Amino acid sequence: MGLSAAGTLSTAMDVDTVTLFLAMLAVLGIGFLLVCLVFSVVAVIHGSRTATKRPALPESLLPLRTGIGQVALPLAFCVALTCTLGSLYLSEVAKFPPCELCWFQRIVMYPQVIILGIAALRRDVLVKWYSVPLVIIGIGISIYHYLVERFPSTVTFSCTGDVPCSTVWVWKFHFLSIPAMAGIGFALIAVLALLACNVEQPAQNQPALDSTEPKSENEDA
Amino acid sequence: MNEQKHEGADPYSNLTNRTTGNRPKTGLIIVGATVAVVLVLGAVAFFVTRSENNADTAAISNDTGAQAAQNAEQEQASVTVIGEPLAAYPQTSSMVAPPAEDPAVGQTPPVLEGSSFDGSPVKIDPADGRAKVVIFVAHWCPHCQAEVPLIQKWIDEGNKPENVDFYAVSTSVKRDQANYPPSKWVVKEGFTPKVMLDDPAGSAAVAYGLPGFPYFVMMDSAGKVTQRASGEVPIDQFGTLVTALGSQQAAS
Repeated sequence: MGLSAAGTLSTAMDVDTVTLFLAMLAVLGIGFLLVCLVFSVVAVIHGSRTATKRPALPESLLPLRTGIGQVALPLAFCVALTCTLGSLYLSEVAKFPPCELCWFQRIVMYPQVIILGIAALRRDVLVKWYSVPLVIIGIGISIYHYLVERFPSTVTFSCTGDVPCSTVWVWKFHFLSIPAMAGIGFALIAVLALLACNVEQPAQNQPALDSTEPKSENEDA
Repeated sequence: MNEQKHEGADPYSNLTNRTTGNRPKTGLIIVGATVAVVLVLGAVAFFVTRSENNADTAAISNDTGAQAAQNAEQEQASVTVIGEPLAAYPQTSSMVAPPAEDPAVGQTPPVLEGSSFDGSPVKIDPADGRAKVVIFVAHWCPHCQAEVPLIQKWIDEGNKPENVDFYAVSTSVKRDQANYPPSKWVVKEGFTPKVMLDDPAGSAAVAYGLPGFPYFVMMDSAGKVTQRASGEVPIDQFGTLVTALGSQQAAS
């Protein structure tokens, strides 16, 4: 018993370490999304005072904005890669079987590694037209999955032999589960893809990119 | 050559015009800061989970399911079923089967002889002269995970009638599923009812006609089934049923 218990404990610690790490990354991601939201509000308020009335950041924030735009695609690629590797770790190493809704999110997330990886290499800021619509679908699935986890009674009232999508495998900081982290990953990819800009064309990209919310960007389209 | 096919603004024109030499420092700082923060988070995750595993103690009262679970030696155990199995659960849209529609009401369920997490014997004997509620739970089932703490809170608030015994049966144990092992779950919830472990074939669950999780079988002091329910029964409804069972016994 001693050996197997020690083995289980060490595996449990590893899984716990990895899930805590992923959860902390998700919190970091939330922080970034909030900062982007604040900057968007600043851009809208500042822009409304200018002659053009279009959203624009104050001069002092432009270097930061351009800096983020420069590294946005590689960062988006890293987010997609982290989500993909995390998802594969949870299913292949931690042996958490993915449910149906997990698979739908995987279908959206995994190709992002390739799409954003190539876009980052080519510095193709137009990748947002391909990446963002997909990850918005992903966000929708993640939100639904999260609600199913939180309120299992809304879908079923009892469990039968099959393991339902409402099974909560990971629960960190009293609000983060696997679909919550996936949703944050999707949101990060969307925002980063929209923020991406090339150094030689900051002016051209500036107005549209100041609104960091994926929704507003889509409305523009 | 391809570029000539584009009309108007060439969307890829910026790809050929790379600036490799003078990338602004801000981008590098952002990348560096991100890498640093991620590394710090990794280190924090490592050390936090290490210290968590060292300090894992909780106050558990004696002679409870949680105490047996704290000294867990097994997650499944053999069960001896003595007697006829209960009739199949009726097809009903309600979580609480109406007694008039339930063929098991009035039947005597079989005796279950098994053991708990620590190997201590647990016997569910309808003929022991006590009214009882038997709760079948699966560790991976989110409805059970939601219901168990509510039941425990209800017990902790002193709602459980003195003349009604509670038993839980941990069944459908799956090593590769969420919330494994069930013993850890029972300790976490501080679950006080005695927990019997079902065998891998689910003999206890089958003998009691389990339709899904969680599953409740209530019986009176004469050992006859009075009520069955399956699903995440709202705790108020559960409380009403158990209180009614208790007052029935007191009156008879």
